[in-house]
Amino acid sequence: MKHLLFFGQRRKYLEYEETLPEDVIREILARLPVRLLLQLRIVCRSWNSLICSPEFVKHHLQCSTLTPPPPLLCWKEAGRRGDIMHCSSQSLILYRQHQPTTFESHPADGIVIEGSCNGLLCLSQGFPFETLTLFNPGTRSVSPSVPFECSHECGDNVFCGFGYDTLHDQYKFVMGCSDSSLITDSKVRSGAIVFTFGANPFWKTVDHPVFPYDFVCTRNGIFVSGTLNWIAYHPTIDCYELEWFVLTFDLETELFGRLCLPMISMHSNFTYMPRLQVHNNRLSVCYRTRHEPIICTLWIMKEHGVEESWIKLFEIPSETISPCFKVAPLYISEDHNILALEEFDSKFLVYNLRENQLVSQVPHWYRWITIFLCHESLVSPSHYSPSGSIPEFATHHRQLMHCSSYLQNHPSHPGILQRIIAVLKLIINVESFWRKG
Amino acid sequence: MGSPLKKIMLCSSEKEIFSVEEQVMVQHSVIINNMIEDGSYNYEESKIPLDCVDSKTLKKVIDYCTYHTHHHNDNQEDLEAWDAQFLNVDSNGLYDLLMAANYLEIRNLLDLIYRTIKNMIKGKKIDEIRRILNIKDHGFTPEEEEQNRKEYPHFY
Repeated sequence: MKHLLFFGQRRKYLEYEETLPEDVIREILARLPVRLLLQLRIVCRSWNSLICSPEFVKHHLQCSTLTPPPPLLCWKEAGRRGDIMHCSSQSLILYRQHQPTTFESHPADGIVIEGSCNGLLCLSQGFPFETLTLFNPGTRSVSPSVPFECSHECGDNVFCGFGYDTLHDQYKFVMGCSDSSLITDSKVRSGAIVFTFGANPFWKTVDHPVFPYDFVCTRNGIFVSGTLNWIAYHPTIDCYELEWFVLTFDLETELFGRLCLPMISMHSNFTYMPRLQVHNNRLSVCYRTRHEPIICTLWIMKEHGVEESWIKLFEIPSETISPCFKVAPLYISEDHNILALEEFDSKFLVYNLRENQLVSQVPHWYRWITIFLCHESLVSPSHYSPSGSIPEFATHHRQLMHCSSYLQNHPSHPGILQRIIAVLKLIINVESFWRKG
Repeated sequence: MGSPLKKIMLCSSEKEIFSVEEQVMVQHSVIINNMIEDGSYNYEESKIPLDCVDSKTLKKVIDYCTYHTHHHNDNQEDLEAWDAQFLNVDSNGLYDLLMAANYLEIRNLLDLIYRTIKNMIKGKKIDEIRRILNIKDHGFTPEEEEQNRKEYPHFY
């Protein structure tokens, strides 16, 4: 009867009935939005240490993954100038208002958003990718920049993505080129690069699938269930016979794969592109038909990686929206409103699925933008980066990169260069040891 | 899972005995489910002593479990309305319910109470939150507290 004994033991709660036990407080706080939690740190010292602890940050993330709060929409205008803009999806749906604002203390001129995952945005600076930075729009915290060097002339042929590997508790940035002949840096030529953030960031080359591929619309991978996903096709096939598929990258195993889309035999051209997005932690794809009557359909992959589990979620006839619409659904709210981006006329649309009608249209005036959905979290960008800013380290790291590419391009002096590299590696090791100590 | 006809006995802190359909408690309480499954409950003799749950609270908990067992097919809105009515209690009552649900590991009831407390905190000033949750000692030094009040005057 050990259970009965166990039952009696918890009696102490009655004696302390004025304050809630710590695990109860933890559960309540884990259900609160980030902005409120940041305020609640000053309620008492124990709340402050709880909210700042990495265990709580993870627990909070799990809770908000189960019931995701309305996301923040983040974007950057085409080109590299200007700040990162953001607005709340809730204000668009509820108040039909659009007040894009910048992150005041974080001017981002010259920075590009590369991906969004667990409330973090991955930003790159310089071309091509001189440094990478993690930014949490919810807490407004930013990590030190990490050097990332890969010389290529891919231009628009670059595809990339940013995601989280749950098994190793690591954030990863993946980059590749859809046409391998354009990469001048030998380390990328035969594969894609996976950059792992952390106290000691590192990159490695992983096997590419058979290229060339070409990508549809966005080259930024969509993160869902531990994978990054892009829509790709084989460019050598006649454009009226194209077959789209999902190129998927598992962040845990670091392997590429491909998944079928629900409608693979669809004849398409660039005007009628399918779109990937995440709805309720599931991969979704949105199509529009090629010919009249124009209908927009959204499919959801119920079980990630299982091609048979694609189900059609809804259809929207075009006459309810506009005659030549090019719609990318962004978010479906609990009250059955779809927030979508209309790219042709540069506006946000809110469409109610229950009433089957357009609720509102809010112009945003930005041309050709990619919207990143950011579900606010407490995840600390610095937790996954080298501590503090380390310019000397970055310089040495860069020199080492130059040396290794020189070595690979000029194999005639391998002996000397290998020795130089060994010395540089030693310097870097001593430096990082010094910093840790 | 036990048969729907079987009854189990629960004994409150006042030693009052409540007879409940086994199915009702097994479905909702992780602890009771474990007891029944591992055979440590004897149907003829056992009464489960719940020394930290008073009769009033235990009756409410049983009401909750019974209603949700028999009405789980109702539409969401009706259930939510029932839940709201169910939790229309004073803060002591809410606290007792929370402790009982935590003790018996009744997950949906816990979740419901967490959400209710969450709504009690939302939009409140720091001093009000301290009062609602009865936090007497905030643990900050007077200097830190003063600094916080200076830095975030609108939160207090």
